Order: sequence, then C-alpha cells, then structure tokens
Amino acid sequence: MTQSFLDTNYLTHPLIPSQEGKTQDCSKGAVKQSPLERGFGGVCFGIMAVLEKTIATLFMIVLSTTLFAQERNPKELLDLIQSDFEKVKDYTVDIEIKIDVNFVDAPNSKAKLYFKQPNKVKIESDGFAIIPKQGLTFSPSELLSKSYSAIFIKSEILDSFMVDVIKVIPLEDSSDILLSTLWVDPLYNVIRKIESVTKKMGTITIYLKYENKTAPPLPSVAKFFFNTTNSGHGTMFKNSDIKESNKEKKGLSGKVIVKYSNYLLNQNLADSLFVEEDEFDF
Amino acid sequence: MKNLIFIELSKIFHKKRTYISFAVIFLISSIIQTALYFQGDKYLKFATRSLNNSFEFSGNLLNGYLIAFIILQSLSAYIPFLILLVGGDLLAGEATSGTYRIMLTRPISRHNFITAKFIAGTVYTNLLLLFMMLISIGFGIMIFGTGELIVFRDKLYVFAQDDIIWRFLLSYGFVVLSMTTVLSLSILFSSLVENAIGPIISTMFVIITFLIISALNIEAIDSIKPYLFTNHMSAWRNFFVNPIDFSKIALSFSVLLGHIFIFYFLTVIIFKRKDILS
Repeated sequence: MTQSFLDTNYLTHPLIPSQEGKTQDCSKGAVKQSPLERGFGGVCFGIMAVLEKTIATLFMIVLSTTLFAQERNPKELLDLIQSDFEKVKDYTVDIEIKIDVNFVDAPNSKAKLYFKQPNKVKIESDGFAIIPKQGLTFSPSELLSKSYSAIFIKSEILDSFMVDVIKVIPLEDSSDILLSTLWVDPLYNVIRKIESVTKKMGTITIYLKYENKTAPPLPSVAKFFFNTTNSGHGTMFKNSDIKESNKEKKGLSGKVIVKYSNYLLNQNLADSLFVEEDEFDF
Repeated sequence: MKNLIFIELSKIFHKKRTYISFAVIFLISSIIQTALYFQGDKYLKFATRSLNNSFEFSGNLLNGYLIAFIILQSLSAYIPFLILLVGGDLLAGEATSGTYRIMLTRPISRHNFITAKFIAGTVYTNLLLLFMMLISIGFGIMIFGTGELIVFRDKLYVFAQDDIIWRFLLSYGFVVLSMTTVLSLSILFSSLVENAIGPIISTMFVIITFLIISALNIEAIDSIKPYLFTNHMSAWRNFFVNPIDFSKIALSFSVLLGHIFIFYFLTVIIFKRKDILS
C-alpha cells in the first residue's frame, strides 16, 4: 500500500531493524503494544514521530523561504533605488568631514559638494579637505551603471529597519569593486549599508543615515570604515621615517564620518561648474 | 663687552665669505621654490600616492608653509657646512692675519675675548637662519599662498593654518641651537690652529663621521649614537607631529646645550693657556 509521507499512520520507517535483527513492518498492530512489549521496535515509533514533525516543519520553512525569496527580485529592487535617485538631477550639499584613519592625522574639514547626474562631482573647500573617494555621492550609479549580477541573500533587521541583503557582483573586469553587499531598505527605497571588497582599497563599509527631509531621501550621515591589508604609503621626506613606518607595515584602517546638510536639489547646475578643475585634483 | 661683540660682528660682516652662506641659502631656496612652482603637483602626488586610492584632496596643498617646510628639511642637513665658514675663521683668522697680539694687548680678558667671539658667531648663526626663515616662508607665501601644512612622517599629518607658525618658530629655534653646537665645535678647533682651513675641514670631518656612524645599523655602536650631537640635530622635526613628544625634544635640547657649554669652556681653557706667538 502506498503511504503518504505525512500520513499519521506511517510512523516509522519500514526498514528499521527489529530486536531480532529482521526488518520490522511498523503496522497498526505494533502501535497498540505497550512500550515494554514494543521494545526497540516500539521506540522507533517515537523517534520517527519526532523526526517526521521536524522534517515537515523544516520542509515548510524551506518552502516558504524559497517562495518568499522568489518574491524579492534584487534587480528590480536595485533598479527602483536607482530610478528613485535619478529623480535628483543635481544637488549641492555642505559636508563636514571627520577623519580617524591610522595613516592620517588631520583636523575636521568642511567643504561643499556639487553633484550632477550621472557622475559629475565637484568639491569646493575654503581650506584643506581630505575626502573619501568611494561612495561620497552615494550615487547607486557608481555600482549599478555597469553590468552586474545581483543575488538576494536574506532579510534582516539593521538599526531597527527591515532590510534586504543583496550581493552585487560586477561583471566587468575593469571594475575596482570585486563584490558589494547592499543592505537595502525596500520601504524607503534606500541603501542603508554597503560593504565592498575592492582591488585597491581592501574592504570598505559605508553606513548611511537618512535624517534630512528630502525627496527622495538623501543621507545625512555617512560613516566609512576602511580596512586595507597593505599600504606602502608614499613619502619623500626622510629615510628614518620610512623605516619607522615600515616597521609596522599595516594597511589603512579607520573611519571617516561625513555629515551632509543644507541640501539643494535640482538647481540645474551648469556643466561648466564641473569642468573647472580643483587646484590639486588627484 | 658690548663693544667687543660689535667689533666682532663688524669683523664677521666685513668678510666676503660671510655672505657666501646667505647667497647659498637664497640660491637653494629659489631653486626649490621654482622647481615646486612647476612640478609641485607631481611632488604632492608622489608624497600622497598610496592615499590617492582612498581619498581625494581638496584645497591649496602646495602652499608657502609646505615650501618652507621642504626648504627647512632640505637645508637643515647642510647649513652646518655654511656655519663652519665663519666659525672656523673666528680665532684662526686672527692668528693668520696676526691680529691676536693687537687685540690681546688691549685691556680685555681672554675670557671676554672668547665670549665675544662666541656671541658674535651665535648672532651670525641666528641671522642666517632668520634670513632662511624669511625667504622660505615669506617668498613661499607670496608665491604659493597660504593653506594647511601637510607633513608625511610615520603618517600624514595635516596642520591647520593657525597651528603652523608656532611650530616653525620653535623648529627654527631648535635649528639655531643645533647650528650653535656646530659653531662651538668649529671655534674650539679654531682655537687650536693658526689657519682657518684646518678647523673648517676638521669640523666637517667630525660631522660627516658622526653622521655615518648614526646611519650605520650595527648593534655594537647603537649605544654610542645617543651621545653624538649630530643625532639630536634633527629633533626639530618632532615639532611637526601630533602629539609632540616634548621629552624627546628636551633630551636633544639638553644634549646639544651640553655640547655647546663643553666646547665653549674647552675653548676658554685652551685659549687662556695659549701662547700667542704670531
């Protein structure tokens, strides 16, 4: 007789050996026996009952997770974020930069950041400013404008926000980024965290906070965490210093906090604004 | 004493060789400033090359303060050789020209005579470094403007504009002390001979030998290094880090000051016992 896996009468595996060492047929009659009478063959009923329930539960979880995951199309989600961001044709914002990196000892600096789609950037500062290159404009185009492959990993809570974790693998060899993991908030269509493994800079993690009342939401604070494995930083000042730094040859690590304020969106910034070069644009 | 010092200063500044040092400093500063005016961005790119992957730099980095720092850094190792030109001649020059007797037949003590020479030599050293500071910072700011100072040591230090001048003043003060040490040594050698070439070459020999010993990575001589004054002459660079290690600077300051006093007293003792025959 064919039995369903979930059939309650089908309590044990038909091929579990009995006390006598023979294959036991776990029939209805056997269930009615007392535990003592049942012996090893009877215990198998209990084990299999638990196993069955566990497997059934796991099956349901896997099934539901798969179905849930299939609902999350990472490409669609990322396209949505990009199209949302593209509503901002340009913006200017005041930025305040605090650097806490092992190879740099610099005072806090202020600057004005100009951005125009798709990737025009200009930084103006009265004094010296040292600014992280990657992720400063938080433009998704930096990552998503080229061909990539996206994989939905899971949903989780990040800083009390439900986010989807998506891995993005750039497909172009020329890309400096090897792999990016994005924590995307599907409710607000914003990226709340980015972790990128790069060729040149090791791992960069960026946390983004959105407290400015802009539409679409633009970050108010970005925290950049750096962790590179090697760095032979350039110097030409004195040999003894090179020796000193080589003693502890370690990578660039630390954090940079950038605060964004006074956003001005869609001001129709002229292209000529971005043509003008900074005094020293490295 | 005041008159003696003025007389000595007048003697120093009436000699053409005194101005060689000023001319050399002016020439080298001009060469560095001109070179950096045209190639400064390459210099900065090279100095910050590893950070360029991670960071973007904005602002006037190639400014007068950076130029002044580079000039100080480049010249501080060579100024001793310029100081020698005057220091080595201070006493030996008198012997060569036969003016010892004239000077010492006047009612002045040998001790005062030597002290006046030392003070005049120190004034010359101060003026030379003041000249260097003015042309390096002054011309630097005139040509390149102002801005934050970036210094690459064990890490990249960026100093705000209002945090720079005092560092330069203290650094130049320390360089004056270093150069006075060299001057004292050259005067000491000058008191031993009757020709200026001898003290100049001897002091050069001592400085070069000490510099070579300092550069050698041999354990056996590591214990000697802290006592070599040349090892402490570059301690001014500690003013361009954060936080400043004042104990390190104080140690170097004491070592250099100790050398100056030792050289001075040795010169006084030698000169007091000297039999003036020329």
